[in-house]
Amino acid sequence: METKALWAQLERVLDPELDESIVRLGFVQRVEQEGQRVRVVLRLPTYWCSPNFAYLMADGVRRALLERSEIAQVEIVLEDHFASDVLSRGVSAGRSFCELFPDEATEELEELRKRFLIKGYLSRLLVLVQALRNAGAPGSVLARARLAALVSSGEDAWLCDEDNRYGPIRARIADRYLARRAELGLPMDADAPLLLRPDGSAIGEEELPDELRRLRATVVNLRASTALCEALLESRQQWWTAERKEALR
Amino acid sequence: MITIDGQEVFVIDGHMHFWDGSPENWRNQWGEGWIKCFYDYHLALSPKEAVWPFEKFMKYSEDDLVRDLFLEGHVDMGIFNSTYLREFFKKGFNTHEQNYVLVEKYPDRFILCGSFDPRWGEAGFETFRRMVEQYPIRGLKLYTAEWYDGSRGWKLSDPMAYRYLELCRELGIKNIHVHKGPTVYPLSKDAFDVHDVDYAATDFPELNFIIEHVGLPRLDDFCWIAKQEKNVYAGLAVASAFIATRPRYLAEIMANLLYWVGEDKILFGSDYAIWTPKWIVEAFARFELPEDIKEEYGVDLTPQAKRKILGENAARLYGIDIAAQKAKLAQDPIGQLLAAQQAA
Repeated sequence: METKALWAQLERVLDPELDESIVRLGFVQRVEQEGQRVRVVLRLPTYWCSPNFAYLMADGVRRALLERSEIAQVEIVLEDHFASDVLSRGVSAGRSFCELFPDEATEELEELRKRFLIKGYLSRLLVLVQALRNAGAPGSVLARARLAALVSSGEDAWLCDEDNRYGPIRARIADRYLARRAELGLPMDADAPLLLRPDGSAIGEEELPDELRRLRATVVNLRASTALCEALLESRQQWWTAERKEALR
Repeated sequence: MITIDGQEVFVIDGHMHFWDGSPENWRNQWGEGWIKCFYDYHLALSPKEAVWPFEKFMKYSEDDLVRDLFLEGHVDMGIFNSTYLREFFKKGFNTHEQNYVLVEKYPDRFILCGSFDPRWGEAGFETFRRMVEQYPIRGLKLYTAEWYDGSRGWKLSDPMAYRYLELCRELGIKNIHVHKGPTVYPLSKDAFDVHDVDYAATDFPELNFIIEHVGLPRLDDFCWIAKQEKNVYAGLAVASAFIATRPRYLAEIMANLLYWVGEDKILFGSDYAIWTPKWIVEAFARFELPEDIKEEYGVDLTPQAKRKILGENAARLYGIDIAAQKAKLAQDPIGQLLAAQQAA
């Protein structure tokens, strides 16, 4: 399999908490391919990254790669983590999280994943609304709009109502919102309201300002966490390099 | 000493430590992993001139602490957030016994926190009482992600935790600092939850709960709870360190806290020695929210709000009369050193 295609598969794996690709976040250290076998080395921002999230990412990598028929076996190596051994061996063998931590993991991992899918949805919704507002769309238009009004073309997207067209905004913003909305099983028909809460109820015009304030806290949290993780990973890489130099000496 | 608008500010560092993270104290690889992780936090957010070598970071001296906080860091008083981690460190990481070494020398400079762990069970009640008798314990620091005898964490809403909180009420301990920051365990979704605080805060209205690290990475959940509960406060440690390299994020966090929690319920903390307070306090005194953020949230970080956050709020929680305390501090050995410094 071509290296580029391999990385494209990895690109799709998200950090569930940060709602961002693990490739963009710099968590993938190395990828080695030998025939139908692939070995992926991951390093997370801290030694203490939650094992449930570490598992979701490592297992996400395994699954994403195995989707391709050219790949028969995936080995995951999680470097420098307090549960490196258990997670690396366990995920490579395709074992479930509860099997790996039998005494401690009572939580259905799916529920946790869903919780963060929703947080990611809220952040994508806010980004969409902010982009559209910056493009001039008033709250009344946004609250009234149906899904069909969001029109993408190439790199750009617009919100169109009978008389006006608001935009362009980046199509990626609209795509990310729509993808997550579909993933959560929310209505995707052309008639469905554009702005939905995660429970499927529509956000009315009067509720919009309050709703946006609440969304804002979720997004600030997400961005601050992402910034912290990026900074930590960066320090960690320096550390790693220094230690290697030391070892080589 | 730091001034805002020409006015002297009384600074209480609401979150600081005197730890021993040296290899001699590591019990196992987790002790090493712990202190290295702390050092990554230190490297990640400190400005270059405030970066320490790892050797010093693992174990610093009493003199370092006195200088970094009081002589150079603009801090008047510090709150020792004792942390035990006995499963990682042979003598514990910074226990109240360890922190007491400094409290004994400079009693007016520090507020000492003890702790409890509900997994001690009823057998721990005596230990807890003895700690409060033997040491000047004025608050508690609770660490719900602590490992203990095979268990990897607990919740503030556990029945046994309630028994200890009742004991706090009986013994007159009012301020409970709770670590709700980045966590490892428990593995369940509760690790990403601050809702156990909600239950405890409702059921113990006479206690104050200071949520350290403002619940990051759960700021949003924290905000809803703090808005509803009168006795829930925001501890700024970790968030405050964004001020040098990521001020925009700090501005966003502050705007959320000011809007949802309010300027009377936010407490400054440096998390010393992860970060030294000097650069944080100096930058915070100058810090302004960008116009667009002010407008969007309808809040402002005024000089008055800064004074409250830097010291007045913590003083109120701990019953400190600032004018009287300042007079006392001017006379203690550190006060005299500061006076000599200024005279020179």
